[in-house]
Amino acid sequence: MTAPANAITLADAEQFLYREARLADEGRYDEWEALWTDDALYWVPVADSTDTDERISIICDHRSRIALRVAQLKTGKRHSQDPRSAVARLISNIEIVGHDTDGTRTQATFVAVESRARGITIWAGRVEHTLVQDNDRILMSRKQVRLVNADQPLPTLAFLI
Amino acid sequence: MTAPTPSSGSRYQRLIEDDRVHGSLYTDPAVFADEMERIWYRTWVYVGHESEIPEPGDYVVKSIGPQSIIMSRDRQGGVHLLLNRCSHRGNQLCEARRGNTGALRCQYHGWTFGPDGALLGYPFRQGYGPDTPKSGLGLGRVPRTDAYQGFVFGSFAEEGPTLLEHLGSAREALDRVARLSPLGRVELTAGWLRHEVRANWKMLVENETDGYHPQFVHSSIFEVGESHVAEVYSEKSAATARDLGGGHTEHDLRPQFRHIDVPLAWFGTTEQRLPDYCRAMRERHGDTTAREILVDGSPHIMIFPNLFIAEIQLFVIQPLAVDRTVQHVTPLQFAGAPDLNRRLLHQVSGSVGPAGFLLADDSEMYERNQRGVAARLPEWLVLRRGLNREHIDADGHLAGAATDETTQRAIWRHIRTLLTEECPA
Amino acid sequence: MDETVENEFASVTVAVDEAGNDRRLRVRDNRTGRVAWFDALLLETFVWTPESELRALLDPSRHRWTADPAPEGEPR
Ligand code: FES
Ligand SMILES: [Fe+2]
Repeated sequence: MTAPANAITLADAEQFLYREARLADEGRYDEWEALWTDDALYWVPVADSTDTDERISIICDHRSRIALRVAQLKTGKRHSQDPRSAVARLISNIEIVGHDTDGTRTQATFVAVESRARGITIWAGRVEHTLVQDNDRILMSRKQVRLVNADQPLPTLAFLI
Repeated sequence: MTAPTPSSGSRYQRLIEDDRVHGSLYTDPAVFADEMERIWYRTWVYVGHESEIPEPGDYVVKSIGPQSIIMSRDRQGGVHLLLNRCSHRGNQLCEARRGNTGALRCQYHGWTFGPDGALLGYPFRQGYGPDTPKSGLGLGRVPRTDAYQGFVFGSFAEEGPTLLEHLGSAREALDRVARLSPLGRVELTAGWLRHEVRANWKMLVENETDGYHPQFVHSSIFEVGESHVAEVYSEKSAATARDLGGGHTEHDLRPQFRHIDVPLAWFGTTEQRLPDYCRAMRERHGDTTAREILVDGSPHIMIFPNLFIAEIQLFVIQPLAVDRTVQHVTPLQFAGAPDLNRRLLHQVSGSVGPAGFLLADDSEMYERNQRGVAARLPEWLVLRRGLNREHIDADGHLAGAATDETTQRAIWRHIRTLLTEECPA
Repeated sequence: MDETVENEFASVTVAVDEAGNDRRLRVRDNRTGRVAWFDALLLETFVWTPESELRALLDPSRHRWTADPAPEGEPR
């Protein structure tokens, strides 16, 4: 794999993923939403589903629905996030797996510990991003989260995974 | 753990009154054990849909409460409900959630069964001698299985009301759903979300036809999204909350949508956006009937105890313990309507399941409700809303306004009947 | 071309084999590596085999897991 001259470096990709994770953990919704491109897809599939048009997904948000999700969170009346879950997320094993016309694709492993009145929930899985350089910023056009337990019954997942 | 002692029926006469119910009904493991025996392992319970096993040899793993059930199709097309337990030493037989096979083979010692549950054989038969009859050693079967419009139900009672008697007037709702397909067939082929909540199953059942909560629980999404739901569940709504008998309840939304009188308004879309579907419906039913069907839309019905059809999606409620319930949900899909189906799938992905715009908040309420009822006082939950304005409607059903608790009272009346009739030992 | 056909109870690899004078199916049991060939006539016979006989073949004691000696000249 040879990277194009203007490709995003691993170091830049890591900084982006850390920042994205922190904004989501801290509920900084506007800043998190600003990380998305206009043609974005935020996808959390069930089990090993490979097609957003064939199978129901846990989350399948194109750009307008990402905006709706954020707007709902910001009303202060999204009960499943009011109070907001306390979340701490580790993101690790970050690799650049390819460059193509869509952007730079990364893969990583994450663990997120969520605390709310229900108790502690541990979320973990693989996350894939497609990152694009937009002038001097990096944005994400795609984020796909494959939960390790995506084939099992799941508790409510209302924070930004 | 020792099994709780069954309570006598008179206990439930005391705990379930006409307009209030006791909090312990949601929290006491002994009540849950009685409910399993007297409700879940007795009445007709929805298990799965025939479209999930279209081919001979297909099977899916489903449930009746905590019991794991294999729904299989044999080579002649017959549908069987088998318990997911090897008849040898009790191993769980199927591990995959779905598959296709001519026989089920237990991975523990290799006993092998037909799709009808019959024992086909075991390895090294010499160890059993000539007088071990295979015929008595098949898989456990749900004693009664029947289907209506492809919806497969099972009953653990050897005798009792037929499925059609059990469904009563709820059966028309299943006809209404099927009629929305240009080919007259529902298909549940878009996969399932499974959402687990720490709450008693009855909180879910009661919430499904609760028209009082949407303005409060779902105000966040009503505020930022376009939705007709807020008006449907307002004091001004023409919709009614109805007791269909047998514990089945519904919100009859037709009066409201007939008042709006726009095809597909119930789905928040228009005929222009689904031209192929609308054409196919007109071809099948003729212009007038097609328009009526598309104005009336899909039902919002809770078929006791576990099948909830909410216009565009179908939920199955699975109690696991007194404070643990899994809600399974899938988008309704209609044979011969690919453009409608795609839209349904995307809409349903947004609103239900663990991250859904609607269901995440319903589930938050179930869990808070469960924590709340654990408090000792005031002991009772009040179900009086709308008692002052209930009436018998044109179809002969007890009906209240959209936000009334006519439906919760109907559910509890039926639960009381089932819990107080003691089961034959 | 090799095709895997499997369910949770068995896994086989199926290929059209051209080594003989006519094409036939080569089927490999992936769990044991055992291979068998099925020509057109044999497959046609399966198509005509009644359900009751297929069910009898699925009895694990019938051939595979049995203490009976294998028929003359056959491996077990
Ligand atoms: S428990 Fe199934 S074969 Fe022994
Ligand atoms: Fe709700």
